[in-house]
Amino acid sequence: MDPLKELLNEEIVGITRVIWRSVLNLGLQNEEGAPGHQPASGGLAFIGSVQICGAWEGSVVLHAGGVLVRRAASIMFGMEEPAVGSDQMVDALGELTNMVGGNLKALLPAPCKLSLPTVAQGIEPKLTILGNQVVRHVDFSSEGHRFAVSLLKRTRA
Amino acid sequence: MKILIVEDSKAMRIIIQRTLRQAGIAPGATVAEAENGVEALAAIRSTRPDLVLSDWNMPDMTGIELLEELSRGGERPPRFGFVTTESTPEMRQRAIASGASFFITKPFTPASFAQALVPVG
Repeated sequence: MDPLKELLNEEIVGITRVIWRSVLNLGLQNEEGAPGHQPASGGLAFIGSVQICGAWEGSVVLHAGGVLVRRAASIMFGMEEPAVGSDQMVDALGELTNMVGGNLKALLPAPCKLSLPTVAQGIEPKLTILGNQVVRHVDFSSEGHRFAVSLLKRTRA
Repeated sequence: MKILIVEDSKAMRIIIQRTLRQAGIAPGATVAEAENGVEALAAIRSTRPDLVLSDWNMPDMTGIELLEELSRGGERPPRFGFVTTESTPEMRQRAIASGASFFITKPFTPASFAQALVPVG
């Protein structure tokens, strides 16, 4: 049986919603069907990813704009937003990605291992994981800022 | 009471400390931090914490490697539990076999800490 048939976008929405609420105390809206998925085009953005290896192989990617990541970091670190630095933003997005990835991994075939998170940042950054293709993608908005969670499956070595 | 938080994310170390306070766990405890198992091993051997809250997946030395190293040491280990994103039955079994006494899964709430850690403090 293809486990992805059982892993619905609603589960990605549910996991992300719980993390947003419990860690950030922020609500979010599922923006499925909205055109595009790039957060805040033209501005600073962050991409966090974790790899899943084992009985199921792929990656979980969280893509968010700098404004939302700064807000998340300020909440997680208990700091005022202007005082939040790049290191805190990377740390915050890495941990959010780790939580989303770890909770999604639990829905995939076992045994699997989760990598440490990797975070890239830049103006409209793009992440290509060679040999992987997107099998699930969900767009969200929180506090008026777009972000996206993608599940990629490894299709070749 | 001395608590050691072992976690590679600074943000999560702060959140765990905040959650301990919100859950009313060991008010007045001294809380120290380590970024990975290697740092934690040194801290445990030098400061003898009463409680260790450790992430599982960390660079250099993971949480389970830390616990297994402690359990091999022949010394009485501190009360040790995991605060981690991953919590499969296999992981729990391996952790319990090495002496872990609780698992708290991320994301967590003050109630999950209170439930796992009572009657600490």
